[in-house]
Amino acid sequence: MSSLHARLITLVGVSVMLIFAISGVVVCWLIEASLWAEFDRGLRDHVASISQMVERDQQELFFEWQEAGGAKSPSGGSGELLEVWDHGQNVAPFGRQPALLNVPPVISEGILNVRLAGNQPGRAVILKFRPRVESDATEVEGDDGNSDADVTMVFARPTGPLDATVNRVRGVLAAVGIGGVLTTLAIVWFAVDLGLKPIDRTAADIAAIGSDSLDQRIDDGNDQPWELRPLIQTINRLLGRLQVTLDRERAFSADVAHELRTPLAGLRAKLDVAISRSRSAPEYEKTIHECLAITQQTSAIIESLLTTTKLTQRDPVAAPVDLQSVILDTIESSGDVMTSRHLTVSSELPEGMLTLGTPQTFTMLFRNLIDNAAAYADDGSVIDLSADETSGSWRVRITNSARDFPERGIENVFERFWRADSARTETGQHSGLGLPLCKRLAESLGGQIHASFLEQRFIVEIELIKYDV
Amino acid sequence: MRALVIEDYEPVRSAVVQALTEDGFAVDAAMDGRDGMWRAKSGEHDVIILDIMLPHTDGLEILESMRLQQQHTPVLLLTARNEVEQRIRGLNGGADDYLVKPFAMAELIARVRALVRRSFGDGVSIIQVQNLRIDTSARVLHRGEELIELSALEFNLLELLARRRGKVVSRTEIWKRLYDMDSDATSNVVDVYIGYLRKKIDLAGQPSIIVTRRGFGYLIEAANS
Repeated sequence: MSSLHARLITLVGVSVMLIFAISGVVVCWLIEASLWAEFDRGLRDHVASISQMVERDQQELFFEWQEAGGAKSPSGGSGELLEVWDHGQNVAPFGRQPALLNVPPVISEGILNVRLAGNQPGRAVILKFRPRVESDATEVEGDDGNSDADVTMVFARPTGPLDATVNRVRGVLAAVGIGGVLTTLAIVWFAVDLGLKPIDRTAADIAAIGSDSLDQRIDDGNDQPWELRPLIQTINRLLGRLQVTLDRERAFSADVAHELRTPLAGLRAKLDVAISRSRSAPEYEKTIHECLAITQQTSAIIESLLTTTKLTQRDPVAAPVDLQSVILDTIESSGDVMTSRHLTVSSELPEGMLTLGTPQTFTMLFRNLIDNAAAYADDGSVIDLSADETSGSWRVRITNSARDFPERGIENVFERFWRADSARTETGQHSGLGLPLCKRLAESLGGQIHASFLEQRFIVEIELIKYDV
Repeated sequence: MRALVIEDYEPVRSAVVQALTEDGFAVDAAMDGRDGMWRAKSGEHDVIILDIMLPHTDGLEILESMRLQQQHTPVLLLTARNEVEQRIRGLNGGADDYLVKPFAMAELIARVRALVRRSFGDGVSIIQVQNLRIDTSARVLHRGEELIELSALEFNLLELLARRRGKVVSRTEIWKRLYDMDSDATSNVVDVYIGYLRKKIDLAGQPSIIVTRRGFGYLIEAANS
């Protein structure tokens, strides 16, 4: 059941019904027991009083109510039955129905359920006693069950009226129970509805927050129930994180748009100029080559962007890689840039620098780092490369002079599209994606990367996992 | 007319320079903010096309610095960013116009020409000098119904004198306005082009439209003088 509202109502409703049912049964049982006890007490009292009216003279039993001239027996009530048995003989069957007991002397005293005339249910009390002897004022010894008790009196009374009363009580209790359950359910429905209102309000507040209003927060003040406050505070913190992420993504999208607009502007400008008038074949050819170069630069930017967004997990096919040879190969392939800017590379790399990953990833990492150093190093300066082992890792350090580097920018060097100086050289060649890509690459290799600026030198340190053979 | 293009992205810079040159401008170019600042402050240009994101010094800093020094050369800002805040900052900083990359080169040229016209105090593109009708937008010259063909340099020279009509323009200024810094032409070439122009626009037996003020320069008389 997914609705909290329905769950609460069902839970409370079932509980209330159980309470009402159990209470009803108990109350009904108590009332019935009380009614039956009262009924039985009435029977006993009646029999006891009748027994006082029985006397023995010689062998005969005399009933006082007969002496009083009344033919009417003490069991005159509707459907009642009175029998008196003297030494096994039914001496005074009063009532309009056959004898109730067939062998009364063997029946012990007590109360039992019987069937009376017309098969109507009844309840009988059996009393054994010794009747008074005429001219002898001895009291009846009634229900003590002693051996002298030679008279058995049976008195039965229909239980129909009592059954009807019990049934009425049951009906009333059931009606009260059902009414109580329904009323309680209605109250519970209303109470749950009222109690869940803050959730509805909070849900409405959350629904009102769109992507353009993530700066809004849901009120978690005293108006809110304390049970909801932790949830609201968590949602507010989530909104904060969402806002930061969305702002970052928007800035990133703006940066991407900017970076792609620039080469696009170059392409359009070149093509606009080319078609503005009739030109010679070599002029068109020159324009085509220029446009091709721009598209290649643009492709490189897009490739870097895609790489940075794809690198979110560790390399799944890691194998031992010799860092020294990867770095030296990369330096060698950067020879043209180094020569054109009169840069020198000084490397102190120990042998056997084994780490885990794929050679392509390490090549991409060090290609970007060395290209970055070569692009931003001062002309004619030295780029230093060194490495050492530190607590189970290889730490590689690349240092280049950077007199114009803004020191306060050191915290931003790993942000996408950030440039030390807008563009140290031409836009398009350095898109501000190199170091962010290196960071993602290092992290994908399970390593770390740091940058610092000290005494006009820009230092990048990478820590990579040391692989022990 | 002489223009300065300050743009770090080579493809855009070279294309704008080529387009302006082919449209008759003498064009100087700078590839970073430092060089651009120095050239912009020379005051020798009729219009500056200025990129915002530049190495060393950004375009808005250059603009603010120019305006602080009462340097009022019209400036057309170029940027790849299209945020309103940046446009407002640029225009408040003293820019005369704004163009977002990528742009149509024809639009850039038209805007540059409009800025130049406004800087000479009139916004019109057609100048009437005696019986000559100079269409600076279409870059054509008519005498009545007759089309007079001029080279780009001759047209620029005529437009410069026509826009400054009533005022003497020195040979040095003409030279500065018609040639970029990389040109190896000397100011004597001005006299040569004045001669070419006179041959094309003057009528035989009539006084020359371009008057020589010896020791000062050249002049086209204003209509009411």
